[in-house]
Amino acid sequence: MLAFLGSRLLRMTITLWAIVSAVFLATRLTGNPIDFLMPEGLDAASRAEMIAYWGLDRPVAQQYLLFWKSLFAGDFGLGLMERRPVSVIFGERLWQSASLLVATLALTVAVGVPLGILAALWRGESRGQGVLFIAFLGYAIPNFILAILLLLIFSYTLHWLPSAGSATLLHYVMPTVALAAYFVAALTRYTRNAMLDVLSEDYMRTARAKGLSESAVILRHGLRNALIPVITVLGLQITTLVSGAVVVETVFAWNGIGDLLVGATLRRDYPVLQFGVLVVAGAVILVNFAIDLAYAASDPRVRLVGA
Amino acid sequence: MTEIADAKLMFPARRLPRIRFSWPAGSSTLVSVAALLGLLLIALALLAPLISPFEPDQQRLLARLKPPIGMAGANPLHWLGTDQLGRDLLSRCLHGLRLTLALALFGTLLGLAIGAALGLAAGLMRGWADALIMGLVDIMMSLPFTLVALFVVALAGTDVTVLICVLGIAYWAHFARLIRAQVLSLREMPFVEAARAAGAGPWRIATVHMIPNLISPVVVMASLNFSNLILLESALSFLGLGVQPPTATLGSMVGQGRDYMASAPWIVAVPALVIVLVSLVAMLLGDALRDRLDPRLRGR
Repeated sequence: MLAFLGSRLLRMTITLWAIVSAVFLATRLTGNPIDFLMPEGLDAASRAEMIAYWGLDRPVAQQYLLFWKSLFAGDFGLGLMERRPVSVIFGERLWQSASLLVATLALTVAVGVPLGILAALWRGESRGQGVLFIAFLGYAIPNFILAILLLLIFSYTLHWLPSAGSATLLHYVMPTVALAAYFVAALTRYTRNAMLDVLSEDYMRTARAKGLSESAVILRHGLRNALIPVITVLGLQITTLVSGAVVVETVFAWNGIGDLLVGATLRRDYPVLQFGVLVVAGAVILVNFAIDLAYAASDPRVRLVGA
Repeated sequence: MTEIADAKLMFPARRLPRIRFSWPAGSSTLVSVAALLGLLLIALALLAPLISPFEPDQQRLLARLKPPIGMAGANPLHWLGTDQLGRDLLSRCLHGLRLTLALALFGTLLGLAIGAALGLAAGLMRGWADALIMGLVDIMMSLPFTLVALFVVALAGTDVTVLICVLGIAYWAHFARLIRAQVLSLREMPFVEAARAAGAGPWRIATVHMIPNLISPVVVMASLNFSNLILLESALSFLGLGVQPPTATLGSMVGQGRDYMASAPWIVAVPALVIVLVSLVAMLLGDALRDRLDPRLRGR
C-alpha cells in the first residue's frame, strides 16, 4: 500500500509541477506577459511600473520562483474586468459551480444505476432495448445542444422554467439535466455491462439457492459487486464533467467558474484565466488522486497492479 | 456429414477482424439507416457550394427573420427560414456542415499524426523516451480538455489554424496510448522476432511489420475521435472560441442565434437539430464499427 501511495503521490506532484510550468512558459514564450496582464493603451510610465511590480525585468529563473510564490500565496493580481483580486472573484463563484456539480452527480447516480439494473434484467427484451436507446440519446446529444433545446421548450415555449441565473431550485433543473444526461447514459451502460458480468457468477446462484428474495439477490449480491468497476469508470469521467460544466454554465448564464473562464477567454482577461486553469486543473488532479486511493483501499488487486 | 462437422471443430476459422462495409441482414436496421444518412450528409457537405440556394453569408435585409416553410409568414425562397440578417439558413447549414466536417477531419489527421509518431517512438524505443512520452500522455489525459482549449485560444487567438491545432491536440494522447500498447504487444509476436532474427532493422520492423497490424484498431479510434471532434468544434464555435463570424459552422450558428431565441427560435433550432442528426449518425456508426472490430463486445 505504501509503495502504491508513494508512486501515485510522486506522479501527481510531477503532473502539477508540469502544468504550472507549462502555464508559466506559455505566457513567457508568447510575448511579454504584461501585454496579456494589462489592458491595451497603457502609457509608458505605468507600463514600466507594472513590469517592475510583476518582476518581469528580472531573470527568467527568478520570475519562475516568483510565479510559484504567488501561486502559494493565492495572489494572482487583479482581474482586468472587475478590478478585484482574482482569488476573491473565484471564491464567490466556487459555491455555484460546486453545487451544480453535486446536483449533477446526485441525479446521475439516482437515475443511471436503476436504469442500468433494469437494462441488464431486461436483456434481450424490447423494454431493455428501449432503455438502451434512451441512454444512447443521452450519450449522443451534445450537452450544449440539449441545453438549448430544453431552453427552447421549457423556457421560451411553455414558460415553466427560468432561462438564466441560479436564484431558486427551479433554476437548477435545466442545467443539471443538460449536464447529467451524458453521465446518466454512461452510467446506465456501465452498470448494465457490470451487472451482466455479475449475474452469471456462482455466488448469485448460491444466493438464490439459499432462498433469498430476488430483489435481495440483485441488490445485495449483484449490485454491490457490480458497482466497483462502475465507480472507477465514473471517477475517470471527472474531467469530462468539468469540461461539460464550462459549456453548460455559459448557456444558462450560471454564475460559476466555467462561465467566468469562458468570459475571461473572450475578453482576454488573462489574470483570471491563468488562475482558473491552475486552480481547476489542480482540483481535478487532486480529486482523481483521492479516487485512486479510495479504489485501492477497497480492492487489493489494484495495489498489486499499480505499485 | 460427421466428417465435415469434425473438420470444422478441428480447424475453426480464424480471421482477424476487419472492416465490413456491408452490414449483414441480421444486424439492426438502425445501423443501415445511419449509414445511409451518413452518406447523405457527406454528399450534402461535399456538394454544398453547388446545391445551396444562396451564398451562405449573403444578407437580404428585406427577408429578415423569416420562419421555415410550414410556419406562418414563411418565404418560399427560404426553405428553412432566414436569420436576423436575412441570411438563408439552409445555405448556412450546408456550408456550416461542410466546414465542421472538414475541421473534424483535419483535427483527426493531425491528432493521428502526432499520436502515431509519439506512440511508435515510445513503443519502439522504450526506456526514457517511453517514460517521457507516457508522462506527457498522462498529464494530457488528466486535464479537462476545455481548459486546455480556453488557454490556447486566449494565448493564440481565434483563428481557423489555431482551431485545427486545438482539435488536433485534443486526442493525440489517446492515439499515442493505443499505438504504444499495440506496438508493445506486437514486438513480442513470433513474426516480429523472426524478422529481427533475419536481420531486419527497427525502421523495417516498424514500417513492414508493425504499421499494417496497427491499421485496424487505429481506424476504429479515428472514427470515434472524428465524431467527438465534430462535437468539440461545435462547442468551441458555439462559445465564440472557434470559427469567427460571418463564417458559419453549425456550432457558431447556434451560439450567435441565442439572442433571438424568444422571437425567432428557428435560427437556433435549425442548426441545433442538424447537429443532433450529425451526432446521432456519427455515434451510431462509430459504435457499430467498434462492436464489429471488438469481439469482446459481441452479443452485448
